[in-house]
Amino acid sequence: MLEVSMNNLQFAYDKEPVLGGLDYQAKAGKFVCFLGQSGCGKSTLLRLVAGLEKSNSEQLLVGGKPVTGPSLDRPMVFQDYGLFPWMTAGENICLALKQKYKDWDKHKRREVALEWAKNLGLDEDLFDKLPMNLSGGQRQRFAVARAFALDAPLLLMDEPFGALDAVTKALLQDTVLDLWQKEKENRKTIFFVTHSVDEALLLATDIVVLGQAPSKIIYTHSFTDETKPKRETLYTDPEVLNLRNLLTKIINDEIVEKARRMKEGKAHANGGISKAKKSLFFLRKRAI
Amino acid sequence: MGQFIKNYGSIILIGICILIAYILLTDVFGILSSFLFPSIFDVIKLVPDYISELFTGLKSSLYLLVTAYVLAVISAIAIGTLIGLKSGLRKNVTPYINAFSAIPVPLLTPYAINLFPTFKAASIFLIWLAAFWVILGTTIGAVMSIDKRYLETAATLEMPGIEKLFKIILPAASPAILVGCSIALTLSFMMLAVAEMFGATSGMAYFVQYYSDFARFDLVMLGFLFTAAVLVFIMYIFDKIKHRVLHWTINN
Repeated sequence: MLEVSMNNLQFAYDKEPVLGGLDYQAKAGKFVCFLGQSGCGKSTLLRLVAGLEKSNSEQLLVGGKPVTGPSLDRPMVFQDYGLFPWMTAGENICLALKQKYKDWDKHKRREVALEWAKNLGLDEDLFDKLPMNLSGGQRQRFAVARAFALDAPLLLMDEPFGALDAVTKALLQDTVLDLWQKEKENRKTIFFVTHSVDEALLLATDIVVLGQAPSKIIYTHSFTDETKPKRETLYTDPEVLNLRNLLTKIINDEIVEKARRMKEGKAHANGGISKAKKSLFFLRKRAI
Repeated sequence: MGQFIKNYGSIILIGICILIAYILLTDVFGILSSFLFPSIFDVIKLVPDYISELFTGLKSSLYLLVTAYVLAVISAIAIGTLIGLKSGLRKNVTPYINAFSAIPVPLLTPYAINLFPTFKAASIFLIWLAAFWVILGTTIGAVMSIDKRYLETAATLEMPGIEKLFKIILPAASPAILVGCSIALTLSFMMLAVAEMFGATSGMAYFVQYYSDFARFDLVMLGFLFTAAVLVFIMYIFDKIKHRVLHWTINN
């Protein structure tokens, strides 16, 4: 339930610009999916919101306040699980609960953690297993359970289902959507990074497409409760199909544009090299 | 019994092969000098007469070894973690660590005797120093190379410093740190021989040194075998502890 405002948000890694000035206001309780090709800065944007990278205090506000560092109010689910492998899956959730609810005893933490594991469709017998003894899908369910258990107003998910098989991915998408929708008035704001148009269509209330780095927002789309696509109609509803085509085209155009620029850059560099070769040839000729 | 043979059968077999090779080289073909390489059967006959002396030596050696090793583990992991986490500090102290760790520890014996009030303290210092550099180096490397994901997850959970140290940093670095601890343990045993060369009145290395001076190479061989057996036993215990700590890694 936190608003997020980006006001000409810029960011660079070692002078290499990644975000070239983003302007966006995410309303509280929205499920915002950030779409874009690899390397466009989607994950960087999420890391800035998480406080894992430093941003200019005026350019990024969460709940009206500048982001000064990581916070329990902004847990993040990473693509590669992010569970601590030396703890059991259950202990991973309990550790997070211990940080948030300092007055809870061990039993209370375990009870709540178990409840969240069950909410994510995990059996109790998996709770005491080490992450290495779980499948990729089960590990990611525990990671999502940990984030939800913290009951934070803003949840950040960085391609959380990117490494999963299609069936597990679909099940987890539905589970996350159910958990989020169940909260009704107190819905968390979710920032979800993906490069899958279908995933964005299925999950998002708001889709934000980022252009190539240094990226800017090149397209946004918002759904109402009535127009939000459902899994059953994702591949049949003409409006959804049109929107998918549009989003795919926008992203593809960006890829083509990037390829063209790279080609031009190469040609320019090659031109420079031929010029240098010619000069060298001239100098040698003079010397002879 | 079946499980025991499955676990240790090959190890015992290699030991028997080494023993047979030694018997062939000494008793059977007499290839090796019988003065320096006494018959293993003669050495075994000495056990009843010298076993109490060997155990007294063991007690004395273990006191030096355990004290120095435990101090080295604690100090090297504490300092190594600090240096591993602070890049500025690491940049400034690395040249000095490289310089000091390159000095062979046995060469520092005269300085140790001069600086410490007792021979025992000097011995502990030398063993400590040998183990310290190895554990320090591996700890710095291990902490530096901790997967960034773990630290970032800990950061998003707002874990306080001490909890982060014991629940995230040290467990994440433990596989590499324990490799260093294992090498340091073997090194400590080697340094024990140097440390017991001065001032000691008993000890495993002292036993070997003492009877070597009298050219009693049968007793020297007995001392070697006893020391090796103790080292094997200690390494076995160490591996059990390591296995328990690293139960979460794939290779365990």
